[in-house]
Amino acid sequence: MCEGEKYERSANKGPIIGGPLSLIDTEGQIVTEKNLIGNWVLLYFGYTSSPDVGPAEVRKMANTIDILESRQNIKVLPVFVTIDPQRDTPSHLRTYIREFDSRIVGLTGPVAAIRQIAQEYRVFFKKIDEQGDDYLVDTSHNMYLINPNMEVERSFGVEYSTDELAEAITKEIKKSKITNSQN
Amino acid sequence: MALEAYSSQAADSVHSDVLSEARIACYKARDAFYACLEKESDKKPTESASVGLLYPAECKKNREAYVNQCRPTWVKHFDRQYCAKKRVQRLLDDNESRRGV
Repeated sequence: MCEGEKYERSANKGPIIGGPLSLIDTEGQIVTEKNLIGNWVLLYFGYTSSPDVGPAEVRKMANTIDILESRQNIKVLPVFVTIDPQRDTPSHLRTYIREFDSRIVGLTGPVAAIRQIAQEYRVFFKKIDEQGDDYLVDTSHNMYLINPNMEVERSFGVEYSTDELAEAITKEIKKSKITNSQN
Repeated sequence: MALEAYSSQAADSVHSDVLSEARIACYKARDAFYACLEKESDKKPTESASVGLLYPAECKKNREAYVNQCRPTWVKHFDRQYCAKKRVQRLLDDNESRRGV
């Protein structure tokens, strides 16, 4: 894609968010955007030490993936990127995610790598209420729907229920002319 | 390369106090404490919780169980939420007395 085309798209649809990534999954393997291309992806930025919103959002993501697959025959790859890489190590992330749905890909990495992807997706995150090693992370808990070309289609906030999210994703996918290798 | 180094150095430990069983136990202790506050709302709040929240001595046992079961930052987060909820309730209930203000 040449430079001119890139600018054209951003003039119509706003700033381009998203970009390449290079992180570690829960098995300790490197995952890049090459591993995601070809799939519709539902990307969530969160952290396991979230008292209430985090667990609810991950539960929502798991249920939405279920609904899409069973009712719409649509396969979407759920991905959880932690914005608390210091505490969310691969093994801890694996244990946490497994309690919800082992299909969710958990990604972590060095702080610099997480900062980079958060910046690409314009995700705000900040440590608050620090008491020694204990802290919360202030963040928007947004989810991003990414098409098989690794382009961000849209984002969803915590106000979306499971059913609303499934419906909105179905609509976006059916509207899009891009189909992934699974659908 | 930084990624490989991270992968090999990352600890195997798991923070069990944020996993499902611990979360459920925390929520239970939290709800028991706030239920006590509601029940004893006519008593004088003499004890200090966090973020300015006060509670009556009658709920001290619930408070201890709650604080033992949940991370300090979680307790603070829920206390803050509870205070905000109470404040909104007060504003809604007090609507009549503040007329004209």
